[in-house]
Amino acid sequence: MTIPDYVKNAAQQECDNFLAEQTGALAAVISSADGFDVASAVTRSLDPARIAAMASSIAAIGSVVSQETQLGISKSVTVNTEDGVVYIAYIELQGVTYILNIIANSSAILAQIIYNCSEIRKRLKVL
Amino acid sequence: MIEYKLVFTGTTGAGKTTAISAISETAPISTDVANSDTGFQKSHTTVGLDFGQITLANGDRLRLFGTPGQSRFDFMWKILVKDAFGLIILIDNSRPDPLADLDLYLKGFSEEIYTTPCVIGIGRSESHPTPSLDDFSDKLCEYQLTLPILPVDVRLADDVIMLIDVLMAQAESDLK
Amino acid sequence: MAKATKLSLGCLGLIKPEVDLIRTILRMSSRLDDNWALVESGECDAILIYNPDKNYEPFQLKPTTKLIHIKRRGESASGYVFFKPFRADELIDTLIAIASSSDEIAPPVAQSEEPQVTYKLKKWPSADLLQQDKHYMLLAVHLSRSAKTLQDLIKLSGRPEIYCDHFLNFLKSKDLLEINFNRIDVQTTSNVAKEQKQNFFSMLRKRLGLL
Repeated sequence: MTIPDYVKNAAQQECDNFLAEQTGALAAVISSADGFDVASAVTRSLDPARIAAMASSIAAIGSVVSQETQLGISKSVTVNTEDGVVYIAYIELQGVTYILNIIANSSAILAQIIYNCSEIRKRLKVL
Repeated sequence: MIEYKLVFTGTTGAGKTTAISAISETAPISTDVANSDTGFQKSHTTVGLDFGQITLANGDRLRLFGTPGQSRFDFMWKILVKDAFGLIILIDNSRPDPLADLDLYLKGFSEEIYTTPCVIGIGRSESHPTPSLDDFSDKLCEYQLTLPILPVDVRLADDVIMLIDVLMAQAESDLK
Repeated sequence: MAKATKLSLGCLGLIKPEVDLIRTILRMSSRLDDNWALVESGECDAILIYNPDKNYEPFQLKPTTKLIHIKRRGESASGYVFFKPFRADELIDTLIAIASSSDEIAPPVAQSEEPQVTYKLKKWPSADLLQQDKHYMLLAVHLSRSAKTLQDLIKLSGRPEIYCDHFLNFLKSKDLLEINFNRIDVQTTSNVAKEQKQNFFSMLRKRLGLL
């Protein structure tokens, strides 16, 4: 499904802003459910295409777990690591499900990441 | 209780999910999502894994895993093939370059392919006879491999069972 | 392989209905291609022999005559053997093997086969070749995994020595075999692990309807 340029630009802007403003942010990638990156802002040598693919796998597995355990629809998956966190959440663009993947180091506060992602979701949903 | 793992891999649309469905005792778990890749004529594609299982009379289990087909998910290939007793590579012979497809999986599983029992199933070979099974055999020679190459229709449980039977023969051959 | 003259087969120690059966097999088998004929005396290329007392009359042995001993299934055997109850395909395999083997008096395994000779497939055989016999694929699987001796092949496949030897000769003629005359390095799996796995496979085959 092709998303209009203005939506893609808005998504890119969100990724750029997140990286600039969120303490500890290392990457913000928005990808299709089948793992293609559509917008991204990354640091280090992180590969947005790779992140997009991994995020879609993790999100899909999260969905299966929530279905199997009858806990409703999966909204996000968090991976806590030694030196940071990976947060993967479902968003919508033009009524189609996409995935927002955030990678941050240990200076980031997870609650803040979750809140900011929720705000991103709201802003992109109405486009 | 002993558990063994068997992995199905191969091109998108070759029938990995179908193969598992054909023999799993329970409805398989799948992580199919809408496909946006126009290179494949499929509405959905696996992005995580497929999972099915077969329980034996004594409680031992065979776990069946299907990998995503596209190479961008090759990190899942590594995860899923770990400790597998066998690997089945399914190729769709109706695709533009099935030999190149096989190349992808031989490279993607380059560590396992020389030790883990592996069989190659060629789908749609009746309607698309080229490349021939001998062409695939020649391709394997480039990798110094002699793996069984069988024409299959994975919608048929018997064909999937045949692939597993050949894998077991390979594994038994390795036991000394 | 076309032959200018037919090969001759004699029967010694068999009752008439058994001889008639053998004659019918020789005549009707397309795989034998009318290359064998039953003879009642004189020199012959092979003799089917039951309970031999070293008296081969009315036949005369040539240096190249092959003896095919008739045994009951389950009896130990070496060399060329034809088991009772008779199966036509087993006799046909044996006669084909004799026709394509080298001219030696002793059975091919005893004379030409040293324990350390190993075989490995160089390339997966063509579908045409494998379709000729339902057991060929299993043999090919074993030969594709690692170098095997003839004895390994017999043990793994459960097929008679003659059958396995014939398949090896067939693969040799197609240049599909890597033959090694060095000592084999045997990798051993622990007996417990081996038994566990074999048991698992046996149960899985039953579960899948293969047994």
